[in-house]
Amino acid sequence: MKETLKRYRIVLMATLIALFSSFISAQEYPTKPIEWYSPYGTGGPAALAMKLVMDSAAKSLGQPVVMVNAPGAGGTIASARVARAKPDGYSLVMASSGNHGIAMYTVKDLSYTNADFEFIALFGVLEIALFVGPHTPFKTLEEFVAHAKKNPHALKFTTTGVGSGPNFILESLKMQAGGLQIDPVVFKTSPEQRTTVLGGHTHASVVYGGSGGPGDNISQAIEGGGRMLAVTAKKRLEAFPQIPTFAEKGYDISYRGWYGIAAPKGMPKEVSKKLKDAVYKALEDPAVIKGIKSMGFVYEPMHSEEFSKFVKTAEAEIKIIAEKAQIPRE
Amino acid sequence: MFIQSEIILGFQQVIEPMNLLYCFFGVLMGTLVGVLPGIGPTATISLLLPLALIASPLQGIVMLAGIYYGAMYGGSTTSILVNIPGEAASVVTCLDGYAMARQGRAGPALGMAAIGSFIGGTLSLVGLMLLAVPLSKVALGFGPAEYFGLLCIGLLLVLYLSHGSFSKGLTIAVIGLLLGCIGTDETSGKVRFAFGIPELYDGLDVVPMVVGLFGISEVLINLGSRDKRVTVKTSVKNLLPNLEDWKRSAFPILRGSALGFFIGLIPGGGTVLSSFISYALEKKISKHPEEFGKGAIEGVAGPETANNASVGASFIPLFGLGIPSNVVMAILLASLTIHGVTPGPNFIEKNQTFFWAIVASMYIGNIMLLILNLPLVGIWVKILKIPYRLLFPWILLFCMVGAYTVNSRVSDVLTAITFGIFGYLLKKLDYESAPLALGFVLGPMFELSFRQTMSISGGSLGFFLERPVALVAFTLSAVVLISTFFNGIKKIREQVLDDPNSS
Repeated sequence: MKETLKRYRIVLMATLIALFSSFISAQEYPTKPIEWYSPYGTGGPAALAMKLVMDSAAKSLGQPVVMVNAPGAGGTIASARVARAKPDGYSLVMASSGNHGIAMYTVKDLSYTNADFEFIALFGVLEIALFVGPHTPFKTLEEFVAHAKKNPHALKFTTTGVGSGPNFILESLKMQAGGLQIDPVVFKTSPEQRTTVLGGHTHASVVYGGSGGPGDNISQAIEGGGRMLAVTAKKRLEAFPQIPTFAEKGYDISYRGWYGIAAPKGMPKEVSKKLKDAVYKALEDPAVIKGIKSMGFVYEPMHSEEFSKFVKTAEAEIKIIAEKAQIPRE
Repeated sequence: MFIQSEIILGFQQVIEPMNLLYCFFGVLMGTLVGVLPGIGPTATISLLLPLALIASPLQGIVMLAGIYYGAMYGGSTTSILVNIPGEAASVVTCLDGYAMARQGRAGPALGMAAIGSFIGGTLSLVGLMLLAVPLSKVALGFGPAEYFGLLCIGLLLVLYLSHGSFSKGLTIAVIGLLLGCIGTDETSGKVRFAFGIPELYDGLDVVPMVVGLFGISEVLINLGSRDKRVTVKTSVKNLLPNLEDWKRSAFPILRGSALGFFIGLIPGGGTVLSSFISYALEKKISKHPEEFGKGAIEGVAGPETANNASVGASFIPLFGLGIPSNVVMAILLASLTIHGVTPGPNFIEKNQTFFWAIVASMYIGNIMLLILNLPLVGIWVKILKIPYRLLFPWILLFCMVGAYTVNSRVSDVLTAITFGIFGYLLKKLDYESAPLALGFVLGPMFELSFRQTMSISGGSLGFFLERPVALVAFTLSAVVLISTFFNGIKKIREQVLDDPNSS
């Protein structure tokens, strides 16, 4: 009987200590693992690049950082979750030109806006190149456009869906060239999107890349026989000086793929600062830089202020194109 | 390319203690992951990626590849023991494997699954060695029309999965097709059947669905039945397949290897399709098709061999073209890239030693898995002797946790439970669940490839006639359909003629 009482007392003490310790430790951020939501699956270059950054940041934060797979709806499911999450620094999301750019104007009833987020940092940019397959005769953008004008509905262009980057570029091109009739064909994933062109099933598509590294899809497409007709960058790419820019050809299509980190708005100042410092430090880690570049990203990191301004400008540019090209909201 | 010298070089590279350790760790993790329902190779690889990045490129890839095919070995274990598919590719193994377990023959089922997996894995590696370069060019030419042809055959095979009433099987398959329509339609961007629920915008996920449909429903059925579960015989003789089993399984294993290899070549073709098609093929050409679903060992040997064979083949689009066949390959591709090794059109020529070292490691990995899994059969079988009232809470727990881990969503757990109840009702009403899974997986692919082909051809159906591979597939489908029709008529005639009351 005395034994049992003693046991109960110990259990009671242990419980009370456990309860109180969670109050005590709530002060120093971070005290538990930080989660970041990946909008585009766990295997893609963007997810892995962000993982490199976050894992490096974990070292300075002193807590593990966990990638949570939250795919779907063009990346908006992940952002929607984080928009609603507590702004305590434990929930982050990958913010990209897809889920925080195009989605703003192509998705109906989106439950968040960019104003709901605090943008932490940008870690990579992808330029987008238009290319045609080896079975097509086109060597320049002019030839491609001319053919499309003379033969409406003859050319097929692979996209990854109505609200996708490739479709955005296609619509912009069609509109600015005076109303071309090029038909989109939808394939679910980017590798498929490239190989249908290389395999001769469709005529053209876009490919993301830019750094010239081993993982650069532009290099891979060229090796596979694709011909790059134009790139969306403002100046010719260092790694691919032979590809003319859209600007040179007289088109205003400067949409690029950008990838960064965002958190729900309203984090306490100390938490925000600690998080940002850790991420900025990670962005200067040579191993991280090497990894990001090898995935094909152009390394143009931005810190929080610059990134927030960038997002605003990017959103405005997308709005103009979306409205002019009358891309519907789904 | 003198293959013998290359492969020997490859083995020399791999047989180093650290490399072998990574290989072993990979296959061990893979087996564990395959055994646990829901937690697939994707989650594991993402978790272990940091480890792979620290290691040398060879060690990293060897480990990740090991996880992938290890999971194909492990997936059959829970399918056979407790009717829970470890992942979608193991669904067909549940059909006959579990039936064998209920008859007290879990040992032979597990053993044959392990051996078939080994043979399939090894043979597909031989294919990889000999045919990697030429086949990668073929994969490039496989477009939506060809895909559609293949899927036609696939969908027809739904008919063969049902061994009960034909119309019941068809009804269930159609329900599966309709369920597959839930979600965003890629081609138009519109969301279908989501009723405003964001979690449904991308449709139901197949893993929680099959975990519930097969696993949870089985628990519910067992709880409600008064049948005594057969105690498994544990004498060593009965733990391994007997001579009869070997005789019956030999050809299914050979066929499964070939089938799995070719289907695995096609990007996205994969493990699920190859195991389904192998099962249907075995049933169709078997001399005693009625046994399928009641414990025919061919129904375990063929599919298990096929899904492991498809793993070896899926490396071809990866290395030869740089196209990952599924998420697991995508992660592998990315980790190769980070190390500065880029798969792509000239990969094999440019990185010969690396390629052969990986191939050598996969041979060794398969051997390791065989050695790991065979003795484990005895242990798994002991688990079956645990009284069911103690076992089933754990089964339910693993099902629910597994369902959650796929996308970290509670809605997936709800999906699993809902389908668990639905599966229970189906069984009570004497319907089968397998056609639902097949319809669900194949339906959306069928629709998408048809619409893609139509987009390309501008709406002209004649396009299919211009594509030889698609044409062959259609002819095969027609043959299958017609022969089934005639068999059906023959049966009706026999019944009518035997019936003394008819004129």
